[in-house]
Amino acid sequence: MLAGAVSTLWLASSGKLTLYVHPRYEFFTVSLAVVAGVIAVASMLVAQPLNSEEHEHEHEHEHEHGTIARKNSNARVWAMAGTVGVTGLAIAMLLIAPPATLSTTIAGQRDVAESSARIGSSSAQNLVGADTSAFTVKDWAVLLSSGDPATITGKAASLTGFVIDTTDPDVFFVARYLISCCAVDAQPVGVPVYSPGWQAMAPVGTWVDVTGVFSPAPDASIAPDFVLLPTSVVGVPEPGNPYVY
Amino acid sequence: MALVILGVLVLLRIATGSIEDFPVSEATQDAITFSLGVFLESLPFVTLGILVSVIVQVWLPPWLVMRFLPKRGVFRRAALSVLGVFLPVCECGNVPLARGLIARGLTPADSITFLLAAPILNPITILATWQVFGWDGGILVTRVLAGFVIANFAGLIFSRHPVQESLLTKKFAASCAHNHEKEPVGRVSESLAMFAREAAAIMPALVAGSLIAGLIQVVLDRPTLLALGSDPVLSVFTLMILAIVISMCSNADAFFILSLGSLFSPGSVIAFLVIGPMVDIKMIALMKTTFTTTTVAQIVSFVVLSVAVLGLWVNFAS
Repeated sequence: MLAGAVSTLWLASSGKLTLYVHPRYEFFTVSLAVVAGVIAVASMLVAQPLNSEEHEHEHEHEHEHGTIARKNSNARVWAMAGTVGVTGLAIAMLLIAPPATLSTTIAGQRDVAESSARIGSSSAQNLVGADTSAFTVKDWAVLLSSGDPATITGKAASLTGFVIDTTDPDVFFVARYLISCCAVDAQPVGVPVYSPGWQAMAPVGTWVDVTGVFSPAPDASIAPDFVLLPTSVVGVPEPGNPYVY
Repeated sequence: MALVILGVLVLLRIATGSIEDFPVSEATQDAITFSLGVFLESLPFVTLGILVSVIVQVWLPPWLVMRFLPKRGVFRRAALSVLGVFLPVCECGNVPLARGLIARGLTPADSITFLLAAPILNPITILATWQVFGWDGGILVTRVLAGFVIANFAGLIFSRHPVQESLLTKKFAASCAHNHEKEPVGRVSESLAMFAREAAAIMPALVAGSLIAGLIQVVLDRPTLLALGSDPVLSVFTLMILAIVISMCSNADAFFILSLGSLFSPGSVIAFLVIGPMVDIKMIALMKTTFTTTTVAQIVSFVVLSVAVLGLWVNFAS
């Protein structure tokens, strides 16, 4: 538990806790990590002797019964081995592995979120008329899900995300992972970009900065009603926090 | 000594935090990231659960918990089912609390009802499910009712066991007995000692459950699972398996399943939402700290069968 508390507090102090949990849980997570850390240290200082006495008491009981003692001894060896193994894995996971974001490979195994309910609580109505210069991939995805041509057509956007292919060879998604609770529920959320031959300049999984204007899909056979017509697609490094919430 | 250990852990974390080329494959790194997500999300709830458990065992009078619960088993378990409304912690936080309640005199059968019902019948889960599904298709109502009914039937069945203590692991049963026998010490010291013991019992299970859940995210073949989505029978079992292996928090699983909802049958979506909070891999690992392997297997079997019947009924009756 102490390792978990140390890991949580270090991640929070370095601004990387939100790579694993939604920001709305950050205060709660950090608060309980402080509590867990303080109590864990205090229990080692104060309560260790108490638990040790009880442990010795159990041993005394076992010495009184030969066969049972042997069986318990074997069980204790296995339990000890398991504890050491799990502790080693916990330390490796919590204290040795550097913080990392999910790879874009995972996105290929998960559907792109399109329904407004999944995309989030910020409804499309709240975004209509807002300053679009600060819109994230998620904001645009919410607006696109409304399907209102008046609020979408002709709007300029500059988006950073990773590339996911679609069933249409002329369209790709510029996407980010959407986190609802923790990294386990990460699901890509994306904006469709119409750019024939995009595969040559933006391979799947790479991070790109796409600038362009939204327009109704130029071809009726294209699944999304609206697409981003790019004026530039530039490769960029992965941002420090690649998620949207 | 404690401060030395703390210092070593902090120094280790600082020293390794900026490693750029960690020598693992991309899939392994993703598994670690998923595992850490599950662990860090669960840790505060587990801590809270242990704290409440310690308060119940050390600071509240022994008679208090049982005094406010109905005497008759059926009503007592019904009351315990809605305890989650007042203690809205995730399912993993309920395990240490259930251990504390057993140590204070609750029967293992009653604690099983609490463990199965509380993650579903709590305000955060209900609100999240409402936010995603609203009143559409009766999903929210079915989830809440099914959670209540299955949990109470499970409790009823286990309450027929003549030797309740035999449902518990020997180690936990012994620690409960020891709690009753031991000489009184200061409450603060006892609280700290109990916190340390409970953490030592729960944390290995949480680590193991998180690691398995994280690993499965990487090896799970989702396209194959999705291909089974439209079949009214296979879809139910597919999403049940998915719920058990991904070990998602009950506060967030509704958001997750919405993305698959259009691909899967309504019965399978309900099955996913009911079974996940009750018996996912993380919960099974945590329950093993308290109940015998046989008991856990029986709980899982009962829940799986009940939820399968529910999911199939929804698919074929609608």
